[in-house]
Amino acid sequence: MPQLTIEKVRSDYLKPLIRGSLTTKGRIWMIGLLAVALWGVFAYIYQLYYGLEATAMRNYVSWGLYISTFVFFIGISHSGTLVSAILRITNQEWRRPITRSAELLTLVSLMFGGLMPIIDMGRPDRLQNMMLFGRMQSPLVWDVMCIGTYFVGSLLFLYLPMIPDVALCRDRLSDGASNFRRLLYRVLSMGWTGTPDQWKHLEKGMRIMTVLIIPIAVSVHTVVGYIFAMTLRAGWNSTIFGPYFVMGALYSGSASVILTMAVFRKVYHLESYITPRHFDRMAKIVLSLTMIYAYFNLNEYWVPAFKMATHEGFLLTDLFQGAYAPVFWTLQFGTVLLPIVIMSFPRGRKPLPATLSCVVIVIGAWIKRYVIVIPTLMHPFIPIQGVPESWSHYFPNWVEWSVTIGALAGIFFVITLFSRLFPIGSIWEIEEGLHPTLVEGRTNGVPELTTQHSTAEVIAQ
Amino acid sequence: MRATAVISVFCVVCAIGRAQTTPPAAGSDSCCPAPGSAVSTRGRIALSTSMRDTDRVVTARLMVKDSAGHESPLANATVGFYIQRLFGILPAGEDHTATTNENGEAELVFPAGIPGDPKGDLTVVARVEENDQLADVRGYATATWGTPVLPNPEPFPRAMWEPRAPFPMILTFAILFGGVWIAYGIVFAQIFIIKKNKKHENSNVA
Repeated sequence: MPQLTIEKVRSDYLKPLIRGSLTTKGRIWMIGLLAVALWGVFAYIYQLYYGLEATAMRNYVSWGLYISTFVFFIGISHSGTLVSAILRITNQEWRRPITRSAELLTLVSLMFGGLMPIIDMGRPDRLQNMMLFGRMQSPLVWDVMCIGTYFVGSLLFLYLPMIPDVALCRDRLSDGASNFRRLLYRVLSMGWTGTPDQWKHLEKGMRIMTVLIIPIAVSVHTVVGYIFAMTLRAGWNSTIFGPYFVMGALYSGSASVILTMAVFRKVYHLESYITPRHFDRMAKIVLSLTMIYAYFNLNEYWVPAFKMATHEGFLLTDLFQGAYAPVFWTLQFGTVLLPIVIMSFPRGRKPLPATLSCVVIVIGAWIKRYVIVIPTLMHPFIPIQGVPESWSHYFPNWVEWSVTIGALAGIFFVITLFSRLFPIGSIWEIEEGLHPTLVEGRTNGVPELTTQHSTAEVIAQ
Repeated sequence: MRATAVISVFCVVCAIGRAQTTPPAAGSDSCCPAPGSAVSTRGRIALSTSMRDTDRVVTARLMVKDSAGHESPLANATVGFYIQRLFGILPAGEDHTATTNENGEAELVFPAGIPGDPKGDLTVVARVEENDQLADVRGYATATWGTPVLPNPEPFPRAMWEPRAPFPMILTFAILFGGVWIAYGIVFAQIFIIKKNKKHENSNVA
C-alpha cells in the first residue's frame, strides 16, 4: 500500500469534486437515474389523477409494494447508525473511511422511505390531518413522530462531521467552481477555520448525536414493526416484531454499507482507504447480524407453526407449502443461510464475495418485506368472498413498479449527486487516523490543516 | 305459519356502487330516474318467511314494473339469499340461489344454526343475481331464526380506543421526544456557536 500523506488523502477525496471530473459513464449514469426517477414521478402523477384504482391494490391488499418498500428503505437507513454511531462509540479506528457513506445512505433512504407511505395514500392532500387530528394511541402517529425525529437526527449526524471537510472544499475548490458551489461551501462550512474552540463545539455536538442516534434508530424500526404487530392479524400478531424488525434492518442496512463501500471504492479509486480489511470486518458484522436474524426468523415461524392456530395455520401453510412457498424457502436458504455459509470463511469475506453476498442479502431483504406484508393481507379473518376475482390476489402493476423503481433511482441519484458535491469520506477523520497527533494539535491550538501542510510539517509541529 | 313480511323495494339503477349496510325503509319505491333509456325497468322483491313442517322457508317474489307503471312477476330470474352481517352480506348456505317460477317466486329452505343477534333475530336478504333487466334489486325480511348470540362483556377497558390517549402515554412520549428535541436544540446551538466564533475572530482581526 502506498504511504498515505495528508495531502494525498485530500487529493484523493477532493478529486471527484473538481469540475470536469465527471466521466461520460458518470454522465450517462446520472441522466439514466434522473430519467427513471422522472418516470416514477410521472407514474405517481398518473396515480394521483386516477386514484389508487390505478394501482393493483384493492380492499384486501391496501398495503402493497409501497409499504413493503417503505419498510425496506427504513431498514436500509439503519446502516449509518450501525456503522457510524456504534463504531464511533466503540472507538473502532477502521471505521473512518466508511462512516460518511453510511451516514449518507441513512439519510437518503430515510428520505425516500418516508415518502412511500405518502405515496400509498389515496388522498395525500389530507396528510396534514395526521398532524392536526392524529390520535396519540395510533402506531401510525408514532411512526410519523419517530421517522421525523430520526430524519432530523440523521441530518445532523451527517452534517456535523462534514463541517471541517466542507471548509476544506471552500478553501481548496472555490477557484474555478460555479457560483452555486461556492455559495454552498461558504454557507455549509459555517465559517469553519479549525480553531480549538470550534473543534470543542463540534466534538460536543458529535458526542451528543452519536449517543442519541442509536436509541432513536432503534425506536424507528421498532415502531415500524408495531404498525403491523399492534393489529390482530395472522402473521403480524407477534410479540417479537419490534426487535425482529430492528434486527432485519441492521442486517440489510449493514449489507448495504458493504455495497456502498464497494461502489465508491471502485468508482472513486479509494482502494488505499477502503481495503480488504474493511470488507473483512464489515462482513463479520453482517455475518453476526445474519445469524441473529436467522434466529429471529426461526422464532417468528417455528413458534406459531408448532401451534398452528386456525388463522395462523392458513397463512403458514400458504407460506410453507402454498403459493408463497418458493419465495419463502428461497429467502430462508438463499438470502439467510447461504450468506452465513459464504461469509463464515475468510475467503468469503474478501471484497468480491462479500459484495455479492450482500447483493443477495439486500434483494432478499426487500422481497422479505413483501412476504411479511402481502400474504397476511391475503388471509383476513373474514374470508374473501363475493368480491371481484381480481381482489383475491395481488401483484404490483406498472404504476407501482414505476413509482418504486423511480424512488430507488432517486436514492442512487441523490447519493451520486452528493458524492459530486462533497467528499464521500470524512477527510479529517481519516487524517486523524493516520496521524493521531493531530487531535492533540487541535485542542492545543495548533492551526488547522486547511492549508498545504505536509505530513512532515504536521509531525514536526 | 306465515311469519313477518318486511318488504322493501330497492332502486335498480342508482343503487349500483352505493354502500348499503342497512335495509332501506319498507315500502319505499322511490328511484332516481334512469339516465336516458338504458335501463328503464324497475323491480322489487317481496320477501316473506314461513315454516313448512320443521323447515324454515324464505320466499322471494320478484316483480318488475314496465314503463307504463304496470307490475308483473318476472320468471326465470336467479335470486340469491343472504344474511345481513355488519360489513356486508353472507350467502345463506352452500346452495343459496333459486330461480323464480311463472309467479315470480323463488324459495329456499333456510339453514339452521346461523348466529343471530341476542334475541336470535336475523335479517334475511334476497338479491337478484346477474340479470339483463335488473341490477342489485334487494328485499329484506327479519326472522327469529338465528341462534341467539350474546355479546361477550369486555373484561378489560379499551383505553387505546378512547378519543384521548391515556395520560401516562402522553407523559412518556412528551418526556422521550421532548428530551430528544432538547438535545437536538443543544446540537443546533453548537453549530451556531461554531459560526459565531468565526464572526468573533473576524471582528477581533478587524
